Amino acid sequence: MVDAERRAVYSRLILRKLVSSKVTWVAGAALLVVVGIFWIKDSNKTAFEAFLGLSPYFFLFLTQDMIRGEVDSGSLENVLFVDGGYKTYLLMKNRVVAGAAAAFVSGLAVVLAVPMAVNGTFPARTAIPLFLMALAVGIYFVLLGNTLSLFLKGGSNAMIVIVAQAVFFVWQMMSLNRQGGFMTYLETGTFPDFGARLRFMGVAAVIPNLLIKSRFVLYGLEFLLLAAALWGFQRYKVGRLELERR
Amino acid sequence: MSEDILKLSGVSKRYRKVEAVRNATFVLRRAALTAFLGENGAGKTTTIKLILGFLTPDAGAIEKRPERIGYVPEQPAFSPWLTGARLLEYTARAGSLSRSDLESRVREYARLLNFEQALLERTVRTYSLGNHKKFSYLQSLILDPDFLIVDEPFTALDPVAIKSVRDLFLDLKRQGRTLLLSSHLISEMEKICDDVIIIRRGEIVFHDEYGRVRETGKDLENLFLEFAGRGSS
Repeated sequence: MVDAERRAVYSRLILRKLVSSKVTWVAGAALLVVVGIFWIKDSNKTAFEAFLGLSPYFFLFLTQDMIRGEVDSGSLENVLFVDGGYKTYLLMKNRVVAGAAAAFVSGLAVVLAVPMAVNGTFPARTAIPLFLMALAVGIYFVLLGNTLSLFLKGGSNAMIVIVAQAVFFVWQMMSLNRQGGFMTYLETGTFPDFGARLRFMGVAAVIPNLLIKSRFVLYGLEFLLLAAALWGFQRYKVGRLELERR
Repeated sequence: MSEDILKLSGVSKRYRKVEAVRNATFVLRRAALTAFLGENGAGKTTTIKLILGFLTPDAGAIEKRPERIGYVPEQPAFSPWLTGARLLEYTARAGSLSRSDLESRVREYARLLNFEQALLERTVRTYSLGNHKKFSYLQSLILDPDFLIVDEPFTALDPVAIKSVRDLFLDLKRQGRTLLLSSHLISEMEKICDDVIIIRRGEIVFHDEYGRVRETGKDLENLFLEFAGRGSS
């Protein structure tokens, strides 16, 4: 049983790791720069749309080197993590990473939304649910990234998700004439049968950003089920994780 | 039982095909210094990790009574993004230690371990092997542990530090702390231990008070060779 003092220390340790990671700063700066370019070159509204699509990746990049590398380094065999404390610490990474990333993107969302709200162009009815969806996708990315980090060292957990997304998009581009089905579903948000819908959700498990569209907000529930499955799997694996000899 | 701080009953642990610890059963007396001896790969570190909860036993039970456990691994590793000072601060928070208590304990133990306090401002990954070990002692000792487990206590330490650490163990014992030290340095352990446990190929083959061993005219080396080295020569 890990007490409140140790939990508070674990949160600080995770936050300190995030702050001292170059990836955190590069990912944050990249998001700011891209959104800024859209704002300057086009409009505040376009910048906000780009922000919604890109902000979940900030969550994903923060999960780099979260679990396997730390387990293998031996740094968890420390007096701070005795009596199973390392398991609590590893599982707390989901909450702390998601919280830190959510705080950053929420701040950025406010910066983007305020000018629109001032001149009366902020579409609150659609923008707020989409922003919440972007947060949900970000949290899902944290769960996915940390789950992959149980097996993969360094930043390969985030990289494999990006590569899978890229491969999927290239495949779609190459087979655009043969099967326009998926792109049609994406455009219309309607599916001819349950099988097509299931395939769409399979793809969305790897590219959840697709769901940040008004017509997909109702898919949030299915999405939560996927997130819950990842959380359950992670708990199962971490619950059985042992710090064997290095 | 009130004098026992730790009790292992029939504890076993297997790594895939290797049975690292087999049916380990022993108790540790409160305020005693126990030497935990065995050849390389005998199961000492696995037993220690089982006690600390870093491994889960396949069978058996471990009853622990200490309130505060200290642990110094053979080759300490620390989160590379932290300075020594920050890690000590977090350790103190986890142990509900006030800032003034932390500072006084760091001063006291850094002096005792001959550890330069200026190093604390650097990230721990920049420390030498010996300073890693000393820092690990520092981190455990500021918690004022009533049960200290040390895996290879003298590894990577210079002769001055070895003497300091040996004196420290005796001092902790006088204060009523319990110590479990796993070591290859039999000559060092002989000077300080009250009890001896010998593990051989995962099995506890000897456990008794060292005073009783001496009464038989044997020294620790003879005892070790008799039990741990049995069949290997």
